[in-house]
Parts: sequence; structure tokens; C-alpha cells
Amino acid sequence: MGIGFSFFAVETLPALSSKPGLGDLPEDCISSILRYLDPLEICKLALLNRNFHGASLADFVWESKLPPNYKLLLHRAALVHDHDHDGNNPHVYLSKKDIYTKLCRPNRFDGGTKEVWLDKRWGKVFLSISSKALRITGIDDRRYWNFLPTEESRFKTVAYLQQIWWLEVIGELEFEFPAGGYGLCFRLQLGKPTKLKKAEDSAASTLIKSMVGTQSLYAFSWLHPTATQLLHSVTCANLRGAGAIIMWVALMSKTQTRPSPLSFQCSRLIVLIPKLASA
Amino acid sequence: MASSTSGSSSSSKVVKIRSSDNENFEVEEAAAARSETIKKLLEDVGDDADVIPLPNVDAKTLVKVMEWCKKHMDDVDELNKEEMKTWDAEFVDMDQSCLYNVLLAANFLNIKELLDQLTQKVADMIKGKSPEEIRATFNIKNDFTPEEEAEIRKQNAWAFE
Repeated sequence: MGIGFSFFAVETLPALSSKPGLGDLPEDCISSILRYLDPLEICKLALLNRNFHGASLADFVWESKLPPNYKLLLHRAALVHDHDHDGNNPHVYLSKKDIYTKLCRPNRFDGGTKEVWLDKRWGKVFLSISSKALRITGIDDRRYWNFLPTEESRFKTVAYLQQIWWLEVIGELEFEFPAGGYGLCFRLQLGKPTKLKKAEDSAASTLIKSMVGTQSLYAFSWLHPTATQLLHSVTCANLRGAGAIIMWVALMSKTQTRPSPLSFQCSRLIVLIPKLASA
Repeated sequence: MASSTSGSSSSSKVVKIRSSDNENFEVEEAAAARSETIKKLLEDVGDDADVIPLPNVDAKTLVKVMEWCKKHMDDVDELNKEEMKTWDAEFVDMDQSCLYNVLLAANFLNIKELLDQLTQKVADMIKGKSPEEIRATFNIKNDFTPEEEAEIRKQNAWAFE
């Protein structure tokens, strides 16, 4: 009987555990499966076993996640990279996954006044322009504007308005966006940035206190996109409150399937602060 | 006898294939040729082909694969696209071990469209599950050393931040 039991064990257990499953598929088959998942899931599944990890590194898996203009994006990023760590060879071999990982980090270009990065999950291109790269009415006049250091801005500094009647903000950008729909936002904030750099903190908050509480802000913008179709633009907004981050958005779609340079101009952003007039 | 080589009659031509467990099948050439592997073999041996042996595919799996090939033998027009979609969805709805075998066969026989459908199916089964759930569902053993696992976590840390 004991022998019978041991036979039972010998016969069934290996049969159960040796039943082939997904983990036993050839690596290229697993790569083909991973192609249908998003980058975050691919990274998660790389932890399943060695087979999945190997499959998660395949170039063809990541190539499908990269935007079509990734070589241009990488070129921008690599320039910054060179600048930051001299001695690094930008021509060193990068796998498609390496490229994706690098592009998901914010990469500065145009003298550090613009940043481009990919959304980790969807691989969509995001771009941010510092106030220092915009032409703003009276920006060099200290009676109108100050630059405040703050942790709230990805560029660590914001243009802070002291007083003005109207202004224009003109931005120009030449960038090779892949075809697709894009939103355009201006980022404004009423009141003081909450995370100021410590050394500047007290001076800045005194300055801001005089502004907060009573102001309302009217804004008007329109856009002249070239090579794009303007779908919708919120042209007027009455913004109230302190400390709120306000964005307003225009949606554009770019129809060319091939990446090509895109330039647009944001002009005549007029800001009125009527209540200040009586102060 | 062997003169039926003209283009028009080639669609009804039949080829013989043999599974790993020595069962012979007769399949229309247009269906069998959905497999790049068989197509290439046929081109290489020409009309002298007797039986094409497929040492990696058993009879049960081969029947399944050829069922797909027959259905996908002709180009689908717009009208039948929806119907075909439904058929395909039902086709890939099979148990795990069958799915595994058909996937391997599609890979070996190099039938790209079928491989795409099957890998998509597995991806759908995986989507949204935690690694632990996937390990349990598909009987996948963690064969990493703790050091290897820590290293991969480090490499992929950007995705989990």
C-alpha cells in the first residue's frame, strides 16, 4: 500500500508541475503578448520570471510604445545630457526600452527654458515652456514684474506680477510634435506660491500679501497655429480666488502622420486687474 | 495528371501534411499557405511534395490551426468583417493548455495574423492582474534569485514611482 501511495505521488506531481503554461512559451511569443500591454504593465510583468524579464527587453515591444519622432526627442535630450555630464558619449548604444525610460524623464532644451517628457503609461509627448522663454510685456521692468524662486514650478522660478494694466504674452515654439491632438494651457496662479525657497520666503510673502484677497483677473487669449487646426479655445475667463492654479486650454489637432516642425504663437494674452486700480 | 499548375486551379489544389503523432491531413493549398513555414516548404519542394511533416504540432492542435486557416483562406470583404470578428473571438476562446499549444503552433508555422489574435487574447487575460494573480492563474514560477529580483526592481523603478 505504501508503494502504491509513492507511485501515486511520483506519477501525479510531476505531471501537474510539468504541465506547460504561459511561462514556458518562447521568449519572442511572450514579447508579442507584452506588445499589447502598456509600459507600466510590461515593467510589472518583467518581475514574473526570467523568461518574462527577457521578453520585456525586446526592442520591438518598446518601439511600438515610442512616439514616431523619438529620434528627434532623443537628440534634444542627448544634447542636454552632454551638457550635464561632459564626457558621456551620446552615440553609445541604447535599447528601445532605455530610450523610452530616458524620454520619460523631463529633458531640458533651448538653454534650459523648455522641458519635454513622455507620459509614462501612454508615451504621449508633453512640453512645458518657462516664463523666461515667453515674451511678456514689461518683463524686464522691476516695477511690473519680479522673478520668484519656487518649488512649485518645474523651472524653479515664476514671473510674479506686481502691477500692470494689460500685457501680452507671446510664445513661439518650433517643435516636431507627432501627429495627434494636443491641449495648450497657460498656467497662472492667483496669490503666492506655497512652496517658496526658504531664503526668499519672507520677502516674497510680504510682497504677495499686498496682492492677495481682492483681485479678480480677466484673461483673453487667442492663438495663431500654423500646420494645425484650432478646434476649441476658451477665450475668456473670470478667475477668482487665491492660491488656485488656473489653466485654460486650447485643443489642437495635427493631422500629418509624419513628424514635421510645428510652430505656433500665443499672442495677446490680456490681463486686467481692475480692483488694483483703486488701491 | 500533374498538369494542373495554372494559377486559376491552384486554389483547389490539396496538400498533405503530417502531425507529430503521425496523422495525415489533406488541406487546400490556399489554406495551408496561410502558414509562411508551409508556404516556404511548398515553394522549395514544388509539386514533388508528398507529405509535409510538421514535427512540432500534434494532430489535435493541427486540426484547430487548419480550421482557422480555412476560415481565413480568402480575403474578407467589408460585409463579412463583423462576422469574421465574432468567429475569431469565439475561436480564441479556448482553455489554457489548448491556447498554449495553438500559440506555439502558430509561432512555429509562422501564421502572423493568428499569432496576433492569440497573443492579444493572452494579453487581455493578463491585463490588470497583479504578478501574484498571474503566477497563480498561469502556473508561473518565480525563478529569480532575490538579488536578481532586486536588480530588476531597481531598473524598472521609474515605472513604479
